[in-house]
Amino acid sequence: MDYAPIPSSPSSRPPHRSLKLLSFSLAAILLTIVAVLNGRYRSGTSPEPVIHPTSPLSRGPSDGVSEKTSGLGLLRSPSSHFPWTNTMLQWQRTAFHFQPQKNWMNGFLPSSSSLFFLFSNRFYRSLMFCCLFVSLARISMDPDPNGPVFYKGWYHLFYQYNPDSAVWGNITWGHAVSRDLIHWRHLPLAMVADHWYDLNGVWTGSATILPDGNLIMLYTGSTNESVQVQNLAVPSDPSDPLLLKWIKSDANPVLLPPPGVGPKDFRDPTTAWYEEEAAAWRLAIGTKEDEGHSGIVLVYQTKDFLTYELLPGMLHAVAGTGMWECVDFYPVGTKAEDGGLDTSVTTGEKVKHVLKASMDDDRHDYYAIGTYDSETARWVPDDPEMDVGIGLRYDWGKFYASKTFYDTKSSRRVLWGWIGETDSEYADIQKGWASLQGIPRTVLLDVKTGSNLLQWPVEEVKSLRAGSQEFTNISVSSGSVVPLDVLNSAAQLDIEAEFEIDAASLAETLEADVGYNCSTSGGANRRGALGPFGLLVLADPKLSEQTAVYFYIAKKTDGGLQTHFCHDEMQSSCANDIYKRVVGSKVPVLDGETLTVRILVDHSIVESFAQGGRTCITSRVYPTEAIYNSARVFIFNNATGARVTAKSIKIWHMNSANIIDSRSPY
Amino acid sequence: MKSISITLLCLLLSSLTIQLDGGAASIEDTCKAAAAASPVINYDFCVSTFLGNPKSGSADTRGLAKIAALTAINHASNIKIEITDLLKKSPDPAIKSALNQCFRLYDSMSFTLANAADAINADRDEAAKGFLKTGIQEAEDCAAALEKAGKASPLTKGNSDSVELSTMSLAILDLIAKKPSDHDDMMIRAVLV
Repeated sequence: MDYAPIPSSPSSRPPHRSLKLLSFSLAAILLTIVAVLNGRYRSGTSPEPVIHPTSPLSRGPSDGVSEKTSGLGLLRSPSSHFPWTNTMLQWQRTAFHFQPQKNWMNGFLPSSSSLFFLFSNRFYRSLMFCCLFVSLARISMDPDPNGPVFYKGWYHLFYQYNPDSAVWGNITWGHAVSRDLIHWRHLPLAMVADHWYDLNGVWTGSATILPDGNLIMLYTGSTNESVQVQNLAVPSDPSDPLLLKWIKSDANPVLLPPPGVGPKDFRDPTTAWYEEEAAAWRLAIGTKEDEGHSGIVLVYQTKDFLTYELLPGMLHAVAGTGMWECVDFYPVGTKAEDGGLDTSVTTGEKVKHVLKASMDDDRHDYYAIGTYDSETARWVPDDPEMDVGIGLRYDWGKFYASKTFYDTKSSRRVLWGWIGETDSEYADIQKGWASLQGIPRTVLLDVKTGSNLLQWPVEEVKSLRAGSQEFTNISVSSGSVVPLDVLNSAAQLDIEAEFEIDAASLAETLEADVGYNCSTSGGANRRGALGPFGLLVLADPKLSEQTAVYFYIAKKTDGGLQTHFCHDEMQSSCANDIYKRVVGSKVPVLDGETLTVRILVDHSIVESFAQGGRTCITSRVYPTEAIYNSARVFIFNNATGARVTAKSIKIWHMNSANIIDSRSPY
Repeated sequence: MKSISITLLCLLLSSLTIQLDGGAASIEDTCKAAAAASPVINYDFCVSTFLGNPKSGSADTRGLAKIAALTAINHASNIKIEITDLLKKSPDPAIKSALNQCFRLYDSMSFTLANAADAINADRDEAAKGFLKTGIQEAEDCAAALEKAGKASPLTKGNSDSVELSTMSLAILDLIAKKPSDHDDMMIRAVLV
């Protein structure tokens, strides 16, 4: 094994010319003055990760990319985006995540390579456009998961879908089905905006399965006047396991914003749960209350899903957190053998309830564990300091609008999350798609800590594993990088790694490092005594690009240890028109535990799960060099005072899970 | 030195008045100001455009400028589909030729406006305004092409909406030029992606 020292600084693009540097400095100084004068910060938001502006402030067209390099036709305006080639963009599509369909055009379904060639070549574009098939080039974006449910043998996923553009708009319900949560088949749109009460969008909703096995869907419609209302829809043929067609109730809208709630602050109804005492169903809807800028949850009660009673008060509220979108509310068992629980399980000391919401203000999903009281319809967090919106997140990277459902087939609770893009709008238009779903995860209470959830990729992901390699007992000395000899492309991987840091280093009296925070840490190159160390994925052989997945152990003032788990995206790509951050959080490590991490690498998405899923991070990365056969995996140890042992690293190559398009005639 | 102190004084004064704002920009106030700044912008159209996007509720002024640009991109995609349908129905070669030209213009516009949205995100307002003006020109060129083909334009509303959306983004960027405080809110814009 080669133990190469870690390069002290990454290779980068050619340095700025001095004029650009001067104008950048002047602009920075002016901005600083303005910031100092202003001194206003948003209240109630958690500290944001460091976001490095990816393009210098005054980069004119003369410094930007030439039209020829980017392959764009002369019709397009000059810009200063990175010269993405079709090869680079095509590589970004994931192999086993759920994402919107590829472009298609009237009359034929080209392969993606011919498609990009056609779009990039001006002659062919003109040819296409003047001829028979003026293209109906459908490009698409695919955010919020909706109404996930298991019904008559099929997993259903609906999702907010714009069939016409890679930006938000024309929102309909896309629909896909699967037997195993991994292999999907696209179906026709389930619902479109065709009534006054959802004319401006068929927005997010949830499915509830009734005791007789029937299914109802409640969703938010944005009316013709952009008022948010709740609507009821049912399958037009309940015996159709594919649930192709839906009927909207004549009674719609069944819920209007109540007094005191703004018309734009009333959306995303949850799955309903049944209350024995009340002999009725309840569901929750998030909103906000302006005075304290509080996120709040309202509870409605109904027997028939047509008429509702707003229960007095609120399920819960947290001041300063702003509007709560995509609220989710579900029980978790407190014993290891419990498994997932049906949404309607409400009673007993053996059950805790998770309240989750997507914070509109900071675009992160937060959850908290607490206790629900059926009688008062109130929920109280176990730890008010870790309340919704101010405490734990499902995921410390790019992850939003998530929703769980109870999978009756496998008796587990499964979590879907929307993963947006962190590249430029331009690149999204160029590549013709935006957003995907994270890998579905099971959700359980961590019975060992009692204070966090465990999320883990569903077991079915393992069915894609093909060919594994195992590396054991690799000792990585301080300040070194070890390449792993991963056969074939390292763009589709499932990695399970276990690390140990030498006992002597841990025992030494070192300075306390209480201020460590992934976001402000400076990332994988900022060395501490006991970290960072971990893996570099989507790294090219020269390490000019790398995505670091790492642990950092900080000593606390009482001599105890606090482990942090982070992703460093800062060197994930040489491109400068994308968002690159260092993200992550603390991860509980109990006595006797080694450090473990599972990483799913699937082209432009990296998802990792530390300590069995106590802390999870999703990153979108867009390498320009570490793609195709140039992607590699390395172990690294950037700690100054410790030797790290990778006790075991198992790497599986992952097959693709081709999504079948049942809408195409071919 | 004098001009610098005046500039700083102006910044100080405008920043003081801005202290009264909350984090999110008011859609109504922004549209009122935008409509006052340009005869092309209709207040109701502006308000309903933003109300139609759930992200407007928590967006600052810069965020609204970006939403306007993104809405214009979505609109351009819709126009392309409309053009495709019109091409199927129209036998007239002059109209067909104009429609094909319009399709190319709206296709290009998606990229122009994407550049604008990215520039708004990066605080490169002058570049953004340049892209938005190009986007407006592309819509106007389509209108001109159809007019030249001699028939009443079936895309009149589509073209004028396109111009209006891009103009909204432009006007809102001009409002920001008077409100430097919004530079602080890069965080919000970044996570709007």
